Amino acid sequence: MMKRLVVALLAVAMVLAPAANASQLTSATQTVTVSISIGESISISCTPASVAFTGTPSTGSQPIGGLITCTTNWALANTRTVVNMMDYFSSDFPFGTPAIKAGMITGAVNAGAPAPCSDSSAVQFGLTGFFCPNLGQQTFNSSSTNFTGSQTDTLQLAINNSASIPVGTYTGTLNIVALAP
Amino acid sequence: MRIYIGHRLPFGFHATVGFGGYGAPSVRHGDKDVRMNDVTILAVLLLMIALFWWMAGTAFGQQISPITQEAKGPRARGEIIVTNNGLVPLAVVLEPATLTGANGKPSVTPLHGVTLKLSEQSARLGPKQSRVISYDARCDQLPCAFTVFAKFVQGHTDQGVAIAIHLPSTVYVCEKKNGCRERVLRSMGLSSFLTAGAK
Repeated sequence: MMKRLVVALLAVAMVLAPAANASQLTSATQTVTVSISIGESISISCTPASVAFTGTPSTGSQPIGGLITCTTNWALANTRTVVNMMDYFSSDFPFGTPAIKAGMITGAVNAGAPAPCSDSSAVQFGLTGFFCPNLGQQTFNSSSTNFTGSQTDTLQLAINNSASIPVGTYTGTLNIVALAP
Repeated sequence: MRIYIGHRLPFGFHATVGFGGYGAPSVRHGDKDVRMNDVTILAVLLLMIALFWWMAGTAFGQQISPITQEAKGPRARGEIIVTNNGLVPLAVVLEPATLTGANGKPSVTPLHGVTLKLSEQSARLGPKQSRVISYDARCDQLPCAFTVFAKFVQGHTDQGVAIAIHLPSTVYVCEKKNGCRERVLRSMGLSSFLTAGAK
């Protein structure tokens, strides 16, 4: 009887001893530094990628295709002050013919009144070109909450053909730029 | 599933579109049952054309990252990532320029004062594809700043106005990396581009 009691006590002791020891084993706290870096980015999506028109001689303003819709997305650090969305031609003769000057092209931004592109070279935010009405601008200050955001603008191009552009097929490029200096 | 369309009915009306999977259904035409036409293939073709037109027209999104970088000069090495977020392949051309400033206004001029090597001058980006462009620059004097414009163009335009997207990534190079952008902008008289907190 005594022998059985001793064996039972030993068995209980063997079961409890590892648990008791384990609960006392605690390592020193180690820390791992987690560094997260999210880079700034900016993107533009414009649709369609090109617009075309078939002009009628000796008529006034004629739309060039449909609306160009541009969506700008930005994720900026809070050290920025502005995002500019601009559009311009690189030359006063953007279609490669002196018959079509940049000033004959008009742009209506966000359904506003059409305004002609400039016939004079200008510098905006460091870029040189023949600027059309700017698409839009976002400004920031130290309390701004839109350092990550988006903006959608529309642009309707038109051409003044009252001077009758010579018959032909013309191709030009409109440059759209988003700048966050 | 098949798609069916019915024959012309009296008085210029048409039968409605029908769906079925067990043979062509019929419509009542006068006192006769007329079998509807199977237009499944035509419908699928029209859907594919519409889908392709939508993809070609709307999927035109480009991205550049980072927008600015700071480096310890005179030699600076780093990477610029250009991304085509759209579903249509794009061509991207990289156009470096020098960034200077005077009287509070920035000026982007043809590259000078910096010797710049780009791993690629141009690339073709597939749908949803990114490309890492590495650069190796050496400034003639410090501080200096240069901008790499990524010019994205989709396809070829035979007539009309093509849209070219330009997105810049600017690298500021100083003797010390931290706070380089702020120091360069100040030295160029462009502190108006620093936020109120940094002025």
